[in-house]
Amino acid sequence: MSTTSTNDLARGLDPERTDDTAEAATQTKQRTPDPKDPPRPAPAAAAEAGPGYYDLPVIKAAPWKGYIAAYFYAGGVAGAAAALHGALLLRAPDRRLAPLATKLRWIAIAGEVIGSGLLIADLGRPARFHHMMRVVRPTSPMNVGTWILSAAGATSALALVKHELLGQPDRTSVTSAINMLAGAALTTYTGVLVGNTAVPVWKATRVVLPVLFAASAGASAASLLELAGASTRRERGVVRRFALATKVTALAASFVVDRAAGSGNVGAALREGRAGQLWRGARLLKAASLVASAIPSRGKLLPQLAGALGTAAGLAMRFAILAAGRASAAEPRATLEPT
Amino acid sequence: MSETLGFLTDTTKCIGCKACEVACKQWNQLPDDGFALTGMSFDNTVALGASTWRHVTFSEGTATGRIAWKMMSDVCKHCERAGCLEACPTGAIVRTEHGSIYIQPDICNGCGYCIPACPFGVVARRDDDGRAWKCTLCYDRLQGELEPACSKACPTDSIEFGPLERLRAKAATRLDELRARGVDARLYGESEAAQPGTGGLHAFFLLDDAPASFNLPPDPVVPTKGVGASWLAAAAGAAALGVMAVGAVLLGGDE
Amino acid sequence: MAECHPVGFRWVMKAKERGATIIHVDPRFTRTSAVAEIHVRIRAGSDIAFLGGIVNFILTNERYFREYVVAYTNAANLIKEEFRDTEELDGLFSGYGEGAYEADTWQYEGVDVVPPAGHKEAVSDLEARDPNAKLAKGISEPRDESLQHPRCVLQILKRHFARYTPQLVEDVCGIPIDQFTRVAEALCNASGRERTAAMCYAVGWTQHTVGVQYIRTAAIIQLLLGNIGRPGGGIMALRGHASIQGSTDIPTLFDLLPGYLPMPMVAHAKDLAQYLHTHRSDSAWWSEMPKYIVSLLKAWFGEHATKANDWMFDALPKLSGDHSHMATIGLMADGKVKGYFVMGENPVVGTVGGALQRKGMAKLDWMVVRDFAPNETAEFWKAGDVPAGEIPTEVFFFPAAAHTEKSGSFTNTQRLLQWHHKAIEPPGDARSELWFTYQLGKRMQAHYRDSTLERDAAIRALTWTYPEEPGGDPNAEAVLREINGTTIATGEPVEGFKELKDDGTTASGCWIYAGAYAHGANQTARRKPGSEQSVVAPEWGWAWPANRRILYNRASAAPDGTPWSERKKYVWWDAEANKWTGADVPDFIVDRPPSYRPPPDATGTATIRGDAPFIMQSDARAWLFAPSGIVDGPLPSHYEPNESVIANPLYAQQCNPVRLQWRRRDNPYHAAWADRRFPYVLTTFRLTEHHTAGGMSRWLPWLCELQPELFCELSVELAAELGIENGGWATLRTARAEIECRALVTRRLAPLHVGGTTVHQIAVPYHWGSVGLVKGDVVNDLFPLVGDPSVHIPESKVATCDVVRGRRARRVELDAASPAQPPRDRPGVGQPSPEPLQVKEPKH
Ligand SMILES: Nc1nc2c(c(=O)[nH]1)N[C@H]1C(S)=C(S)[C@@H](COP(=O)(O)OP(=O)(O)OC[C@H]3O[C@@H](n4cnc5c(=O)[nH]c(N)nc54)[C@H](O)[C@@H]3O)O[C@H]1N2
Ligand SMILES: Nc1nc2c(c(=O)[nH]1)N[C@H]1C(S)=C(S)[C@@H](COP(=O)(O)OP(=O)(O)OC[C@H]3O[C@@H](n4cnc5c(=O)[nH]c(N)nc54)[C@H](O)[C@@H]3O)O[C@H]1N2
Ligand code: SF4
Ligand code: SF4
Ligand code: SF4
Ligand code: SF4
Ligand code: SF4
Ligand SMILES: [Mo]
Repeated sequence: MSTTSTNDLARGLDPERTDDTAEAATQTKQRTPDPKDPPRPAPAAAAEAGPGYYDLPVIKAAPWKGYIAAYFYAGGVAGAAAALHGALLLRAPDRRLAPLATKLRWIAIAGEVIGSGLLIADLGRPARFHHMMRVVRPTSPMNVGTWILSAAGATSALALVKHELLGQPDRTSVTSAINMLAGAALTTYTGVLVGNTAVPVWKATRVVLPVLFAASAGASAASLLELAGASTRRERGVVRRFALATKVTALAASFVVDRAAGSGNVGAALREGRAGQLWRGARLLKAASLVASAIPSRGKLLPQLAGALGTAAGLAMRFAILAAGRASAAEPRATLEPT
Repeated sequence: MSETLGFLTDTTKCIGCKACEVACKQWNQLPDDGFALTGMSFDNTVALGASTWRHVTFSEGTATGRIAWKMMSDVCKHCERAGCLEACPTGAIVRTEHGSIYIQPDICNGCGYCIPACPFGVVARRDDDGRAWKCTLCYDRLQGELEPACSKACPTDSIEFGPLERLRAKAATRLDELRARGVDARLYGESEAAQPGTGGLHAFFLLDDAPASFNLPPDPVVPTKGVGASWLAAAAGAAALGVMAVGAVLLGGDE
Repeated sequence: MAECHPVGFRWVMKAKERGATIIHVDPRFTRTSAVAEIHVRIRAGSDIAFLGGIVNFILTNERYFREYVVAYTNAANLIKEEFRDTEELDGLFSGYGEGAYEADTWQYEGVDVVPPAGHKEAVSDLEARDPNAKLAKGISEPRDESLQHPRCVLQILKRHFARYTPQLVEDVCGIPIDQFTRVAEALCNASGRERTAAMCYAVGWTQHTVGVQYIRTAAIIQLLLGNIGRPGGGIMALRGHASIQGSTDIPTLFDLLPGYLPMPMVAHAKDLAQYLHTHRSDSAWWSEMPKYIVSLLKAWFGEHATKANDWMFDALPKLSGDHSHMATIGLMADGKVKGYFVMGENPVVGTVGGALQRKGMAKLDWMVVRDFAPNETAEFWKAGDVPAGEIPTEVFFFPAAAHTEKSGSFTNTQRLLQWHHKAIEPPGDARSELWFTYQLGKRMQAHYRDSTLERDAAIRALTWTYPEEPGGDPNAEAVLREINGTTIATGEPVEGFKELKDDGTTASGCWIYAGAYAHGANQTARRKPGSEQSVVAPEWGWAWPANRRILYNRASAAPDGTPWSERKKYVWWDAEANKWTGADVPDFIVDRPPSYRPPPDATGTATIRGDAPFIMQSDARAWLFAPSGIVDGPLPSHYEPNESVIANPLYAQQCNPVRLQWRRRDNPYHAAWADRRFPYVLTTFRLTEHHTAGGMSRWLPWLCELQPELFCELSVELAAELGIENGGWATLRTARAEIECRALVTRRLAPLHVGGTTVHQIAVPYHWGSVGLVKGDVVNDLFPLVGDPSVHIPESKVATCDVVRGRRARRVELDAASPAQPPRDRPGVGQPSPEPLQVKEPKH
């Protein structure tokens, strides 16, 4: 006799019903495929060890897959590209920077489109991605972020059509202003997003993370431009100055993040394990790419090296932060005994 | 909004029979968590999760020299300031007329943001279903004037359901009784004053040991608290980026 | 209790909130201990020593409720001079021979036979031997109410328990002296005029070769403290399966008829007269017995039962010996049993000697199993200890309806009958027990309709007409009505057993249930909330007898009929109205004044004094000392379990000398103590998360996830010694078999210090088997067939075992020769064992 059927019977549930009780009811039919094989701590250890409960996590880690880290990168790059493009407009129209403007447009739109794809891919119910825009919820950075991404995406798309396809002159306009602002916001809100959780290491660093994210977004965009190579000397100058500034800031911010996380159980997430490796790796790469950008050179190779290092650094940075979050959530001491 | 309803879970009355856990699973037709012995005393379901909305903890201690075995039935706290609700980007999580926190399964798109946003590690996402699930405070039963399945099943009234105000009063008297009997009892999350971080819990607890030993955070804080600074930092970051961009463009010439 | 009776435990928790002291006596620290003030860690099988220690404490410190004891118990009665105590015979009472006791010497002075309620056969041989033996009539003299006479029961009690000192308790049970005295004090302080203390027990006390004597010791304590028949007192038998109480009231037991009328035995039942002579008491309430048996025969055989044909008494089957479960298994294994009905039981998992069970089943022609789903019993042939191909047994499986799928009553703890209504239709072919039994009966009657054989008379005459419901079920209320009984002339239900007659004018299927259908209404279906009635809640369900919630409640008043105290007021004599009254239905002849004294020539209920509450006993007094009725001695004495790791510190007699044993190669015992092969005590228990043999719980994912695997609990110390890790594998081994399980290493178990030696106890739940969502080895393969002689309950709570790290190598061969058995149980070294080689049929 199947417990499910009798229970459904007893509750007069029609399996065809679509309200949530029926949805829940159908769940009983599928059993969790492979039973979890949890730790088997010795009770002595359990009783005496740790401040907590069998050393189990107190909070739950975000279930996000690699998509989100990738999105942080893509979104960041797109945002920074939009911001830099906006800056270009502040200057009297200059033929020598036209190719750069075009590159930035395409980088921005590409980042925004790919980024959105990554976000949707990570959802448990991708078909419901549009539910993100059912509401406006200032308390939810993810909701705010959705609107920022939409604004940036829409304005980038609009500009792309107007200038690149219809060939209209590229001037400062409401659209370009929104695009620049949204772009800048796009690079930083993700810092708030992770900071706005119960995950100790993210929470502890949430006043620096946005700055780090913004700077390293800029650095990542700059690195892509370095990789692409400059079409004009004027362009090379802009890119190089932008790269140096952002890379220095990002590197500096990363040290502040360390200080904020502290040397205790919270900071451990950035020191130990895979997250620690990624974090250190990201720093080295950033430093290396900074050096590579700093060395004056007329050749193509050095900028491209700087670009490659910077891109790797940008990606590693995002993955490091997410990995650190996972580790920090899994460590009860980080919540129970922060220091 | 009708009167605020909630739970008082009194660990000094819990006999670890798990009737609450089973009643919840049966009423809500939740799947099992798999069949594996953990070796963690009599706790084989380990933690609250997407398919376990009531969970009974078992801690064996020899603290006072003589062996003590403490049980607590954990559940969603239905926080006054709920991290999950404030974080939810789709508005799937709502506060009901009973003051409880409810996830609308037809809205949730499984973004997973509520999960790290809960300072108690309550809510979780079902792999095979893609959505986030947690205690509904038996919203469906309340519609039919039935008390929640878990409290209904509790033989010792370790779980009491009712108007929050009444439960708070009850908890206060119970606390005095126990203290008078020399029991080291304390309340957890009974009010905003007691737990500013969450503004107080609608499902609060009477504990006879440190919160941590029941896997409760000693000082839970809703993530949105003090997140303003983070937004300011974001603004600063954005501005800095803008400045760097403009600077890169305007200062200096070719190379 | 918290683990196995969580809903009942609700009230214990309420009492605790009101300041009651909870004391939990258990080898393990359980969920009950977790909320108890005192947890007494005891060596499994040693409770008589512990309780005996309390008796001694009460007597030596004069803490007993003197007035109560003198008036209401047989403390003052003198016992025959010939009586010899275990203290004199080193563990044997007088009257021992060939594996059984003659109770002659245990009788009151001046009489030869003191009939117990019901089973008089224990002493009736003696009557047979001596036709002019003097029978106890009502209150038997001589008595010494000063309690000084050396042969008065109280003095005998004193001498018997004198050696049960706190020190001895420590040496036998491993209970520290100071804890013991704390418990004894707490118990005494909670007793007396103003206070009462209750004892709750279940199978931790019963499943022993001395199970009945465990309860006897508890009864002695409660009587000495005046805790019987009073509110808040008593000894609560926490029952098992839903309606397991019902299944002894209207028994599934081989030696009882409904209402605790003894099953006729070939030796003492050539006709109704002899049966009555053997079992009826001339005095007190059991003198009413003829009315009950005649009414039962009328209920069963209707108009066929006439005075002329002795009410068809002869048609009843008669016992030729021990036909209890264990005895039958042995016979099965010997190929002496052809067919087997298993209804609502899973003996392959649930009953001791699992392997022997399967061996027996493999020798049957046919077996019928009724259950929800094929259980281990229905699938015994898959176990593999006998190749399936070689098993001739034909198994018929019938799907059963669950209690939610049929109407009927439950009788549980406190003798409370509660009706449950059918909620949903049973799925598919599932049918209720009622349907199956009724339909089977109908077919049998059809089959034997034309038989002229005498032996088929019972089937032909059986009253088997019930209103049928759509599905073919007989109407359950009609069955209850028949059980309640009717006045045949009018066909109206009787109001109570007092209306039953022995002249064939009334019929009743179970006299103690008479009144359950009073006024033609189903009294058991009443559900008036407690908040809307008195604390006794008489209108919730119906309790037998006569909806009485506390038995012997006349004892809640002093001999003069006034309450012992205002606080404990319950039932009392109302002088104005000239009747007994109070919160409950008085358990006494309602208009008999406290001052009543029976005339010398009185018989029957007229012999009951106005101040003698225990009206079922022939002398209407509670028995501290049991002159008859219990086959293993008038007083409890501590014996070691059938298998023990230590020698009996009290007597040379190691075990209960008259315990039921089945000495056969396929039922080996481990006789030696202090034996390195099986150095540990093995005990068993239940989990809240599962039910008994698992047929009801191992199919439910929501329960399986809570306790997914068979495990054993052992102490941190022992685990360290054996290198067993928490959560890792361990193998348990006894003289019978070996099983594998996970190890739960816990501080809730701890080594005991018992008289200089360290005793390790290992505890294992027995819920697992080979079918269901979660599977595990069968724990009862570890236990032998051995039991208590009075009630035939197996000793499934104690055995000796070994435990090793890792998984089971192979299942031990079923017929593996038992380990060599060193001589034991010697009263005095060198002499031959007084113990029977085989007690298949206890002397009846
Ligand atoms: N959840 C649940 N409830 C049940 C059941 C179930 O299987 N599951 N079964 C029902 C049935 S059929 C019955 S009979 C009852 C049984 O109810 P209980 O008797 O409470 O059940 P057990 O756990 O078998 O035994 C009780 C305790 O006896 C202890 N014990 C063992 N040996 C000794 C001893 O020598 N002395 C003392 N003092 N204690 C000892 C064990 O450690 C155990 O903790 O429960 C009923 N209720
Ligand atoms: N070692 C050890 N052994 C023990 C014990 C112990 O403590 N230790 N305890 C003993 C005790 S107290 C008991 S009661 C026994 C229990 O042993 P069993 O009675 O053999 O075990 P259960 O699993 O209760 O078997 C009852 C079966 O009846 C089925 N059932 C339930 N309702 C119905 C119904 O309405 N109709 C029908 N036809 N079937 C139904 C269930 O599915 C279940 O399979 O175990 C005994 N064995
Ligand atoms: S406990 Fe967690 S899930 Fe429950 S309401 Fe509070 S934040 Fe939300
Ligand atoms: S997972 Fe569902 S409930 Fe949780 S935040 Fe996302 S949308 Fe809201
Ligand atoms: S309130 Fe309902 S959903 Fe919540 S834990 Fe209790 S039973 Fe489960
Ligand atoms: S039902 Fe009550 S007593 Fe049982 S585990 Fe849950 S809270 Fe504790
Ligand atoms: S299972 Fe039934 S009988 Fe046992 S405690 Fe629960 S309600 Fe009572
Ligand atoms: Mo039982």
